[in-house]
Amino acid sequence: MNNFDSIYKLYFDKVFRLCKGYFNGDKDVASDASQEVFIKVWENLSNFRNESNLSTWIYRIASNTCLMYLRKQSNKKEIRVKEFPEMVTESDANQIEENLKKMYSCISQLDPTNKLIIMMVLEDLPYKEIAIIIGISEENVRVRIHRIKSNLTKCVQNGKI
Amino acid sequence: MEKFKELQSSWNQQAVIEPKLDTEEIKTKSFQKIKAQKVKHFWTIGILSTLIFILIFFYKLIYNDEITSKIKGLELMIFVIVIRIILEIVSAMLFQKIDFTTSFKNHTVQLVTYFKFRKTIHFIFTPIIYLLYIVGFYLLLPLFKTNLSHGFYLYVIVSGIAFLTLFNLQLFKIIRKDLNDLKFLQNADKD
Repeated sequence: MNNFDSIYKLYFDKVFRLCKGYFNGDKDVASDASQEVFIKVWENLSNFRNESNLSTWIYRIASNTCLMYLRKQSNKKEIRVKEFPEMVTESDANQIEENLKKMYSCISQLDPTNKLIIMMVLEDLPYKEIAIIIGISEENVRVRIHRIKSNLTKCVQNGKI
Repeated sequence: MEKFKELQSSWNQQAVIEPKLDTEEIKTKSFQKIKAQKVKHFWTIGILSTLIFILIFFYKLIYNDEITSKIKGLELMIFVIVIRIILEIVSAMLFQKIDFTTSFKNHTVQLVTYFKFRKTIHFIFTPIIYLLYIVGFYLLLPLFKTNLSHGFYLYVIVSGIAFLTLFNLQLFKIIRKDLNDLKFLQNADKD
């Protein structure tokens, strides 16, 4: 298995989830955007100089590519936001599914930078790495994360940021 | 933050997604994209070069001392089209230079700078170019009137106006899209 194959296998799901968060859980758009990310990774892998972690480099490409996709989407149509779907809670699985739908809906109400930050927090990326990917100080990341976590939690409970 | 931990737990329980394409298909798509870009580039340069070639050919064909002073309009039209092409090439080169492997903030700043440049083109260069093109066309009308039949002369005027109307509509769409993009990116970069 060559380098790109292993990168693709290791990071596809992470990139897909990041993209999905950008597009309010829309799997089709997220899948297209993820493909675009890995096309760029493949085209530029030979230029990667180990100046940063590979994951930082991939997350940077993913966040920038998804922003470009979101820009294109904003010209086409409004991505479905705001309202939570009606669901009957019957089991833990349904509870998780319901939480996820609410989360995607709430994340989509954040501005692009905060959206990106919270998704990387949810993916358990270290604050230092998040700061490098976004291009702001680690201290700034901490302050923002505290605020976004609080907003997201409230939003999942009452529906609005 | 207990509630947030619950959310994170839900997030981590999402089903793992298998990619629709395998790595070979990704590589094939990449090659197809590069090929499509080359073809698009070839056609863009080809069409614009042909347009300039036709205009220069027409200029040379009708050039003589007697009417030279009357064909300044054509020179003006060629000149403004060349300027517009140069601006488009510069714009495309600037877009290509945007680094998508840099930080999110830096990438957004680069995009905002690019779209501000596009805005300058739309609100300063394009109106000047557009007006000079119309002036060029207007200066050519006496030559058309003298050398063409009345019917064909009317056709030139009507088709010229139709072209400018369609061009206006297209231009309006492009400007609106670029301004929306700029607004979107400035909002993304406002913190």
